[in-house]
Amino acid sequence: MRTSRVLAWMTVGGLLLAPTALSAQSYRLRLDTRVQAVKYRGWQLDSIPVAEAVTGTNGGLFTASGFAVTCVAGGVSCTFYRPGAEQDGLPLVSTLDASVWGLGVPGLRLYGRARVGTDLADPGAWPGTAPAVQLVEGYVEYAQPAWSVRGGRLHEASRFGYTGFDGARAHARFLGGALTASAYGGWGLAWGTPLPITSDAVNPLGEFRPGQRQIVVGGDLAWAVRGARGRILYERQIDPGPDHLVAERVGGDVELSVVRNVTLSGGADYDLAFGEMGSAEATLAVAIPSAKTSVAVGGRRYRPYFELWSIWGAFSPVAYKAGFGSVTATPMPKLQLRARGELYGFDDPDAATPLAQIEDNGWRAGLGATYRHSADLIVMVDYSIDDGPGAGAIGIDGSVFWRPIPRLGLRGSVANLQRVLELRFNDADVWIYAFDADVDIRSEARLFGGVTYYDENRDRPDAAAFSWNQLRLHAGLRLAFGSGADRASLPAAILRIPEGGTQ
Amino acid sequence: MTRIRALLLTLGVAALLVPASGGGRLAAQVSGGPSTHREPTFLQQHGKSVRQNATACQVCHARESCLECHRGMPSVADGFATAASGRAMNVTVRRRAPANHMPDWIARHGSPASAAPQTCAACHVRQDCLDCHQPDAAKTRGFHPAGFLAGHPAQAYTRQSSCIDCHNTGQFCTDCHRQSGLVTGGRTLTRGFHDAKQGFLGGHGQAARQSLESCVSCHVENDCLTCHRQFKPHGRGFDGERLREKNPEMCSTCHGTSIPGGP
Repeated sequence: MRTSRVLAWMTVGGLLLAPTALSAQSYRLRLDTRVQAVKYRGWQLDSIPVAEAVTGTNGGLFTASGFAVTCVAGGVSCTFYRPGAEQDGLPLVSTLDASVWGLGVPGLRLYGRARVGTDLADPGAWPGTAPAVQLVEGYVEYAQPAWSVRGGRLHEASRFGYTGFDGARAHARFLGGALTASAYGGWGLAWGTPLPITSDAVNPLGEFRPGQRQIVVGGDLAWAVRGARGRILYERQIDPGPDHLVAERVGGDVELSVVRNVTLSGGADYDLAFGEMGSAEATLAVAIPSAKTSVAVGGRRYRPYFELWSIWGAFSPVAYKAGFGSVTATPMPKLQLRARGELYGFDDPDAATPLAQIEDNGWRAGLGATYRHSADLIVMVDYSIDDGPGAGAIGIDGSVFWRPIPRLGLRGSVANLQRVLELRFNDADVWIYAFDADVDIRSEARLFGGVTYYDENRDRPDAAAFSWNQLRLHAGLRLAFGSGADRASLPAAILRIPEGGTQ
Repeated sequence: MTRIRALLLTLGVAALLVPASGGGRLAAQVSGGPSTHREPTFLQQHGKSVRQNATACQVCHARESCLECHRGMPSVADGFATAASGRAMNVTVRRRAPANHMPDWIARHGSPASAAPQTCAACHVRQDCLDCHQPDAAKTRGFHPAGFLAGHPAQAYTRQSSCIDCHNTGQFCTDCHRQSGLVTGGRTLTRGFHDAKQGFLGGHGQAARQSLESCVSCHVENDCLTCHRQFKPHGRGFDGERLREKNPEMCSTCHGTSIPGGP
């Protein structure tokens, strides 16, 4: 943990000092500062003596104040969950993303991305603010036309996810870039975070964890020839203490241009540690220019991935399989219509559970429309419905994006979601009203913020139903600096690729 | 009824925000250009044309035109003059998605991005990936729809998207569930949280095997081992011999030093 903090400060300091210390360098520097005020509410476990439980009109047992209780035969108390206290979070995070090159050695570059965060309200109320300083990436790169090497904190992005490690990566290009190969290795980071597995922040309940960081090694071979691009991957993780295997996977992805306007993409991986097929997916996408329509159909398989230091793989989780399709059409120049659907199901779990049969398949679908009056005025409406294991939900989202002047983007949205759960009485009906804005103060500075009001009711057939209306606020400032005439402008805080959503 | 209310509200907001005038100015920005530019696949395939005859592009376009999209690869604009030299005074290129970025693209971009990351790098920089795949605590919604918080238990269970592609389950899911009073923390499992399914504890196996990741976002290992040290949790096809060879530590959690098949 201490090593990570020192690395983070060294990277941030080095990147900030480098531009002033060197005369011939070029640099890009982006500083994002964001804050949001959030609230949420959970449950509070409570209990009463068995003697105080009363029988309700439906024959069930309740507290005197109307909470349904669970009493175990022979027990002395009955338990129930009352609505929990409101949690307030005010996370403030600054992220520095910088790249420096032209350091007197052609091909040498420094890159770093580090963040400093804190919760200005209740510490720990909102996940992700500890530790205060986190180095996401930070490396030195030396690149030549045919090869490059990097050393420092790196993340390898592939179908295996984002594998983080402190180590080195080498990359080589052959045949003018038609064939490339990479190899990497180092001390691993925990899944989906820039923190090591030994960090308390990734283990809030004190579960079993390895005492040391894993050693990660891997590589890939990629090709890009006419109409066919792909990559095959291998990765292995080892616990260096007892020298035991933690994970070992092989996989690959391809993207093929079958014929003009028809693309097939997909990939699969195999878990060598468990000796089982992992996840896989394939999509056939067809563009029909004459009808201004695009169609995609495909299937996917998902199998949970657990490292061998965890016991969960021994519980034999089963795979999830789905077939999906989507259509996008532009019947009029400014109007886009879209529809999507997915049917899914789980493999046979091989578990005899006559006392609690759970659904094992379901479906989801969605319809949407975008009216693009111009690039500066876009109206979107989306409807979704989901029915399957665990829950069913119906939702609708509508939003309007408007840029009244080039430097100002505004977005107003309204949404509703109604949900029922299969395993708990806790139906939800939530209305969301949001307004977001971003202002391009100058070419290198962007200010953004917004407000969201949640009108939410949780419905139950007892006193544990509650209203959870709340206001959420967020604001941010993004600064970009750089040398050279080709410095790109800052992307809008209100994303338009793909449309919708704020960051 | 509620959805009609939502639709009416949306259209109402839209009506309020539509400017009384200005459509002409906006329309002028997207008019013009050769007919090839209106082909659906033009964005994806224009690189070849540029490489073959950049001079034709340079009649109208300046360096800024390229860099509007090619932020991660400015070298593609080498040879183009800057707009400041007087070129491209009336050409405005707006960054927009290529045709294959259909509405559900964000949900299924993983495989194409893994197959050919250099294609993405033509327009996207590392920050674009890390903003979602390594989100910070102050990041507001972006990938998920507005009502996601209320709907996320089922969406996580049924893998509408893969949570672990962007979130560490311990740091993000479990920590928030702990703060919300949802975790068991090793307490006995007879508290009645899953109250809509009578007898759930006695018959939870199917639900657990279907989406174990959902269970472990609230339950710790000791919750399960309370019983499963005695009751074998292994399912069909479980290869204990293989796992014992790879990493016997997992086996010894329950079996101690008496791992079946061991020395």
